[in-house]
Amino acid sequence: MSIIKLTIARSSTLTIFVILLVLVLIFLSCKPPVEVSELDSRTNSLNKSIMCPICPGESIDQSQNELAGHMRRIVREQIEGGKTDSEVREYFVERYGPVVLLEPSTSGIGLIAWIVPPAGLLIAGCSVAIALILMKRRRSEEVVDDTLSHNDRVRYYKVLEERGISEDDLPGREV
Amino acid sequence: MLVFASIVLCIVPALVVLYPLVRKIASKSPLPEDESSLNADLERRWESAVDGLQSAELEKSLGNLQEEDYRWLRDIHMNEAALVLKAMDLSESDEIEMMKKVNDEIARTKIQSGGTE
Amino acid sequence: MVEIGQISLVAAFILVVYVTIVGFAGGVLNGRDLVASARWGFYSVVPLLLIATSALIYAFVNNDFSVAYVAENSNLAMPRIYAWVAFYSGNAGSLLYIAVAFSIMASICLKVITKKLPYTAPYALGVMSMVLLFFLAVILFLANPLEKLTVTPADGQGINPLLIHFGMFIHPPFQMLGLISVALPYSVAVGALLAGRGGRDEWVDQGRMWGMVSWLILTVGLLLGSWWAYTILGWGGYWAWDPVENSALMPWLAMTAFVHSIMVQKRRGMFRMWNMVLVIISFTMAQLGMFINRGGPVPSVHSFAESTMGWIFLAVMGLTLFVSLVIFVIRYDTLKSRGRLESMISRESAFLAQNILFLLIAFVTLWGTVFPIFSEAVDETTMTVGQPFFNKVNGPLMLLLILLMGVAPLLPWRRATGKSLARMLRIPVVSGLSVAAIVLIAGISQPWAVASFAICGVAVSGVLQEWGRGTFSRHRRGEGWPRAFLNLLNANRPRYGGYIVHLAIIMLGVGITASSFYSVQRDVVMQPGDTETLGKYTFKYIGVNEESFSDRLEETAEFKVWSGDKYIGYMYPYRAFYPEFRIAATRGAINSSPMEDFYLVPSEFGEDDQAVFRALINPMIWWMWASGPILVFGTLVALVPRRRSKNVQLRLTSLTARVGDQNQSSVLGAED
Repeated sequence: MSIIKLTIARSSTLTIFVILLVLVLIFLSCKPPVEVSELDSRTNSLNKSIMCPICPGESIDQSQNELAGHMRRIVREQIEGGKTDSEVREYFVERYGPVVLLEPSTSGIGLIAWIVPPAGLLIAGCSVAIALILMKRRRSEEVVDDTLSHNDRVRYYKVLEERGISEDDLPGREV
Repeated sequence: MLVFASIVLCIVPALVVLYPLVRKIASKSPLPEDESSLNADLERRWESAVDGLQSAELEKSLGNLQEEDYRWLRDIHMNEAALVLKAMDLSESDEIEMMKKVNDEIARTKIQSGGTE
Repeated sequence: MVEIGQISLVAAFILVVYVTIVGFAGGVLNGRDLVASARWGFYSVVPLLLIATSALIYAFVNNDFSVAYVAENSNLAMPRIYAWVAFYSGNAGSLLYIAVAFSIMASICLKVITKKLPYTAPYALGVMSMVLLFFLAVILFLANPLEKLTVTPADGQGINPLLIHFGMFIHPPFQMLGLISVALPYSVAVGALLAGRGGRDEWVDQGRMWGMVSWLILTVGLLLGSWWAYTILGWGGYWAWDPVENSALMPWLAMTAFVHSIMVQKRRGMFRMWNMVLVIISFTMAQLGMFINRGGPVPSVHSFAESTMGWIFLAVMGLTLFVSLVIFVIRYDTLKSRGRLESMISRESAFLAQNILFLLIAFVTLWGTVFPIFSEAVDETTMTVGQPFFNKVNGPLMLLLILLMGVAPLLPWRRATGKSLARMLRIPVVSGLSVAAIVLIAGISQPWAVASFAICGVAVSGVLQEWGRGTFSRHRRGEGWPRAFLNLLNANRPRYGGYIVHLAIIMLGVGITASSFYSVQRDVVMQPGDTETLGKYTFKYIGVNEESFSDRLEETAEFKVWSGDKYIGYMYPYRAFYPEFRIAATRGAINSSPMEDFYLVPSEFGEDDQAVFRALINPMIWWMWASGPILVFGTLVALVPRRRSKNVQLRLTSLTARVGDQNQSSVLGAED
């Protein structure tokens, strides 16, 4: 591939070396996720999805309230007793209403909550595309003297080259 | 004590805001350059052209730009810079034109009034 | 002293009314003396508000419970230095804090724009003073922190115990400062619109600067809040998508979009209308934030208790939005673009996509925050929208954003040809895929986590590629490596400052990804002498120490901790119970390292020595806090103004003089 040939050899080797080094570091720092019992992990994730009814907006995992602690114990008991996740949630919904779940249900009005974000993404994507197409087509409205006659060009460019551009107006020249 | 404090708290700010009105320091000082003036606009466009050239240089040295693209960009910005110069030129020559006209007018009026007297 | 403070407030209010009227009048009538008077008046509000603030703090320090606010927010047991915290912890006090902080910031802004935008400044002044007027009006007529009680109680109610932490010295002030600071770029922009001076990008430099200042404050506020939640609140997390947190996030998202798209306007004269709309949206979101903060209809751990106050903020927000848009529409014609889009693949289009994505995330956040109200109104069932929803919905969107952040800076302005695109993206794409491969091999299998690490890899290598190549190319011209690097940074400060900020964001992203997917926790019941393990950590419960204070009961647990075989030391998580507030405040004990945090927090202490503890391992949280200083540094680098070649004017004139000479000769030759 000729693209590769174009790269300066040294910078390319240096880059590869750096990348490899970083990859090794990443590999070394990845540790296999800590094993937690299934009971624990299920309890935790359920706790995080159920709200403490008397604490504003906190999950029972988060809240330090007594009721939250009590509810956490119930969750644990129910899991140990063999209930599934959705059965445990149902239990709480029966007692406190659907408001106790921290995400809207996927049926009924809750479905609207879930649909809006992906719909938003779709609309956003389309608007960007449309905006770009429109912008590309539109000519700039301002009357701009866009053209330099040939003589003008020669004259001004000469001035620019000699004085304006090669100097510290353009600090990046030394880049 | 309280009365004194409240008087001070009311009087001092009142004096502070009245001072510029009374002494008219602002209107006596030279008029600042209008940020919307042609000059200011040209300066901004100049800076933006210079920025563009600098960034083209940088991108080229980074290897992000191919030679062809680099030339194309550079040309665009040089063109813009040249346009700014031309506009400055024009505005300056416009000014010169106008001054000439005004001087002519004054000279003519002098001759006329000199003549009738 | 309190009375003096009250008089200062009244004087300040009258002064701001004057400033608003005279400021606008001066702008319209072109009366420079009027404008000067208004300006001096605005500056004078600062000492007046400082006097009122001092009066309040003085009352706190001296336990003057005749002042209602002091009685509500402190007590005799409160340590004196927390007077600063108590000052802004309640509704009325926080309003005064915002007023005085804003008056100081706005005065600095005013001083600068009077010099740089002399004809826009009067109108910007008018807008700023209207903002201040609103706060002072609310303070004077609805929530005066210096109001006195008819009967002086012997002791106050005390400060919310959750606030007694040194994090409270900085997080709320920063957060509130951040929200109101959005008013600064807003004032400059709307001032420019009103002055009819928005069409030639006059305000862009100042808009960018104050936008970045505001962004920086907002970012620091958010980071401090997360850090405080993590280290103090004891649930092991740092962000709960709580309505108040969301309301601080939304203006941040809008301002991030703004500081990027304003660059396009500066460079190409494009997005003129869009930036106006964007800054108006940002300010609206900041006001929305203040509304939700002050007891809006959505419940939150954070909100001030009053609920009627909130509606006034909402009404003013609506009014501001309406009026701003009207002004925008009136001045619409002046905002046509100078440049035009040359290619669908260019930095300009990437910035547009990024802007839309930021606003989409803000919208989704808003949607989730208000959905409970919506569902109640429509269906009469209240649904809660909490962490699980936001994580699932915003997570992927933010990932997309980080990908864009990695790729967009590599795109050149105006257009990118296929060949150059391939060349630029080669290394980042390879890096991303390599990172994905490596983490998969190392045992990370959660798909979102892998994708996230890979995308961070893409972003990092994009930045490093630019740094590496730039330094190398300077080095080739004869500079030593360190010199080359620093000079590169210095010669292109906005760009490389931005890269530093991007690196900080990537660190944040890595920390969030690792801790979101791979945190583990266990609740354990322990008796003194028991030992438990979590992962490689072993912790032994030694016992608990009880200590009684006048307002609380503190129970401090003692633990000995080992990591594998290595002894780490003691950890002391504790729990304090405040009977008067019926709140328990827990403090986790944290053993932190860049790889992971080991976190112990007590849940409850039972009778007969039994206690429940929660142990957590949170991977890579350290990276999140480490990103903060780097982010601040990067922003400051980007903010330092270019040593502007003084007398650009002079240079230009001297150039044209030369050209003029040539002109003379050609006129004689009768050309063109």
